[in-house]
Amino acid sequence: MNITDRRRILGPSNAKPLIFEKPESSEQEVQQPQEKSNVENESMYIKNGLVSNANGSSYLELKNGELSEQCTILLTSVYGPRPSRGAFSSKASLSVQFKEVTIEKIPSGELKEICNFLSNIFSAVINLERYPKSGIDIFLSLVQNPTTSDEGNLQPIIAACVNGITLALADAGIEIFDTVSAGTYKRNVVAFSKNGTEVVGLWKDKEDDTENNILNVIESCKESYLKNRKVIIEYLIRSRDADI
Amino acid sequence: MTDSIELRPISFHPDVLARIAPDLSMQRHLSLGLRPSLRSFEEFRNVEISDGGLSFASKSDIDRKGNNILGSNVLKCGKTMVVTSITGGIVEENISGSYVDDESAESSNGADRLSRFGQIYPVVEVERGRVGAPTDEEMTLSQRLHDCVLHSGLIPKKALDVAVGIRSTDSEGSSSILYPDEEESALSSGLKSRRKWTYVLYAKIQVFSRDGPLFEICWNSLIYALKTTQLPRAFVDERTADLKIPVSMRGRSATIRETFDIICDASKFQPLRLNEENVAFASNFAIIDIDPEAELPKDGDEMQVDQGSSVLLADIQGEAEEASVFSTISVISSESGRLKHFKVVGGSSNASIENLKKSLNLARLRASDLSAKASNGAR
Amino acid sequence: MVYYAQSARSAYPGQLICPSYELEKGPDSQKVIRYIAGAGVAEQDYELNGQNILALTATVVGEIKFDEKTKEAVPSAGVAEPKEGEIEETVSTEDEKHYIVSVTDKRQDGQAVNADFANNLPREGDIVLARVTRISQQRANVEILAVENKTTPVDSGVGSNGTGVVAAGGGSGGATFSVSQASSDLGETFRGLISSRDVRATDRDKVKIIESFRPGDIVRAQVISLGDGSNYHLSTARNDLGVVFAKACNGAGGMMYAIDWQTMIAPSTGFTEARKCAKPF
Repeated sequence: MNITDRRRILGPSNAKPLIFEKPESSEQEVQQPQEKSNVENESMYIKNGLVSNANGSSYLELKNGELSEQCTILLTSVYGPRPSRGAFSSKASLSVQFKEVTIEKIPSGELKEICNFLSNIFSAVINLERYPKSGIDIFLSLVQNPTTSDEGNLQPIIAACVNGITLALADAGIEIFDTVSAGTYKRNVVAFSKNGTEVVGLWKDKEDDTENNILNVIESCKESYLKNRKVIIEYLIRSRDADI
Repeated sequence: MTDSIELRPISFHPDVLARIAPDLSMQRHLSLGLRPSLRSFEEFRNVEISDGGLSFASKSDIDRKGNNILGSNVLKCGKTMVVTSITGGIVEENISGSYVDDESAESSNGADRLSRFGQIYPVVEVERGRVGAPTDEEMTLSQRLHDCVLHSGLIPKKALDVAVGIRSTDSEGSSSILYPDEEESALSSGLKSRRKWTYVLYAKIQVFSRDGPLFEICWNSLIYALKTTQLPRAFVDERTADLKIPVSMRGRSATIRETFDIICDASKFQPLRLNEENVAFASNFAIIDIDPEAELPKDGDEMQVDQGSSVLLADIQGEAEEASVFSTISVISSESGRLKHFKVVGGSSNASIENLKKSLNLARLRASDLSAKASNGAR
Repeated sequence: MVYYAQSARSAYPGQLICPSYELEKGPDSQKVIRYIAGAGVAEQDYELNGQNILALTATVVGEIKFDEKTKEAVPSAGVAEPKEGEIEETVSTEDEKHYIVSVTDKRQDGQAVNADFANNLPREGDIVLARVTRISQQRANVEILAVENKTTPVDSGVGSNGTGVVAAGGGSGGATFSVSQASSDLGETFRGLISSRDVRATDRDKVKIIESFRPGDIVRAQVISLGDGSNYHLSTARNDLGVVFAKACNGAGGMMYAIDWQTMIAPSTGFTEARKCAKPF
């Protein structure tokens, strides 16, 4: 810490972070729930419109397996279309920001990559021509993240982000071409649109060792995509009907 | 087609009026005996709290890798949601006296009292769809929270002391940890007296759906989070327990003391002991003058509002109130009425003694309500 | 089964609504039905059963509506060049119909104001309410607060970003430039300008901005163009456009009311000030 941040109250500079004793039995036990988490035990809780000062927002709670502690909580808010400054543009510009609310575990380089990946997907999905001279900003807040840093597997989070953004955009009433969703398989995330006939994004982790056949990966991801998509659409239709 | 011309005054939808002329919208509401939020004048918003299951101590299953949250709280007040997480660090206090840190400098200035109390270092972030440096509001909030915690004497300094245990490994390779306060046995008390560590507490406060002044909401959330805070037991390994390395540098010899690796016990923790009588909750009030000019035309005398020319509003919320109110009161009061913080901004309205008294009373009632919630939530 | 006759359904983004062309077979004639994408609907290439078709899909959550459109109102491009051979044969007997397909949220129908600002950005012709922020000899700068009879943006304003003068907690987020450049630089509201030639319809060259607007006034104005990158261009050259709310003495005095189209009076003091007022009726 060489530059002092005068805008925040930082506390004593010689403080050291808490180091917890490493449990010895970690290796096997930690791996197992991840293997299980793929399709069958996953459950999703959705609530739209929690953030009142955003144009649209979604709250996603993903439970991997039966353990209630293993829970990913993601809050997505969409701001805009807001005025953008500078040159006239006939289309909206899109930005995606990702932030961890409680514990910061993901290295910032990876965060940038995720944001890039997501904004590429949604630039293709949002009907940007409808919103001239404006910017649409998407903010992702990861409230709880059960995975640990050293494993570095971000796929469940990326998939949750895609689903969360789609829900938030639908809540905001921003025009999107399709209910985009993502499915995961091992270390891959694939985002589809048009009922799985088009791939809009593919995230392949560097540590992926087993699967080399890309088509197989896509097929496996599609399975979980279709499931996610169904849940999202059901929620959108149901919550709308309930409101009327 | 008839030729009649319909004369219709321009009228605006309430939402539009609230945006273009918030003060007018506010006055119209007040003249009806209501506030723009449709609450009555002295009505507070309901508060829901939970610990959110974020902290490591709240988990039954131990997968504590990377989770160093010691206490947490999720508070919902109306639509506003505050997520507070308390993390910690350990700092070694130098008790040799050669180095005077900020706090002891302060205490020598006559603020003796403060040196007995612990601090917390809060960072407030308000989600508002922007990135970049913290805003004024975030900075002032953090500073106010920090100052109020320190000055209210909420955390006794003793509560932050680390009772360092020693892990000893016997000849068979099995290790055991001894804590000074658990076993009065032959634990080397020498270490304890020579070295002193204290916990440092950080709070990260994330606000969603900002809908009015935040200090009070953040404060309450912080208090709730502190009440759930558990400090892990910490120990040092016996093998590294006491090392001194003599070095000589440019002709001068000095003794560098080995910095210990303090390791936290992942299974043992104790609650942070707060000064219970200093636990207090915050509430805010606004004083606003009723402008007779802006009142809606009355149908009959029964609509007459029997208020004086200025009214006290509890728990400021919404754009119309925030933008048209210039006189505010912020109170941190305990259940029993012990005042911890009191701030009045005079503004343009008359902050009369009656209004101040009334606000203090309401703040006390509010505090007892909130503190009842804490004990319910703690279970 | 023709698509436009179907009962109203709920739609989600990406849902197929109908193809862009359809042939309706009556007992003795054939009609070509053309569907045009309206609000909340987009035309896309869609692969269905191994075949690529041009179809209309929903882009928001809401209810599907079909509105018949008279021929004149439709751009004639589609009429001039029939695409399929089949249609060509029946040109002589064809009766073409046009439907505008839109997806709207039922909750927000019939409301004067809805929360859906996203799809109601100011457009040419819209009436907006704006606050004057700065005046000069040539123009008045304004910030657009609301599109009239449509909506107010939810994600701007004091409540969400803490701008403005706020006593409690010192929330002056956007007010100080040096500290929070990000927010004040980007701004939270759409800006516009009213050039002196657009203040009123007559005597355009003699308009003095200072006698028409003051900073802080709320102005009802019409969007004449999307303008450049930063400003919408607005006009008040109509009887029902102009200042609707103003305070006397640059905001220090009380509310003023229009007594004619260029004078406002403060009832509490009796002072009058010059403004370009909107007709209050």
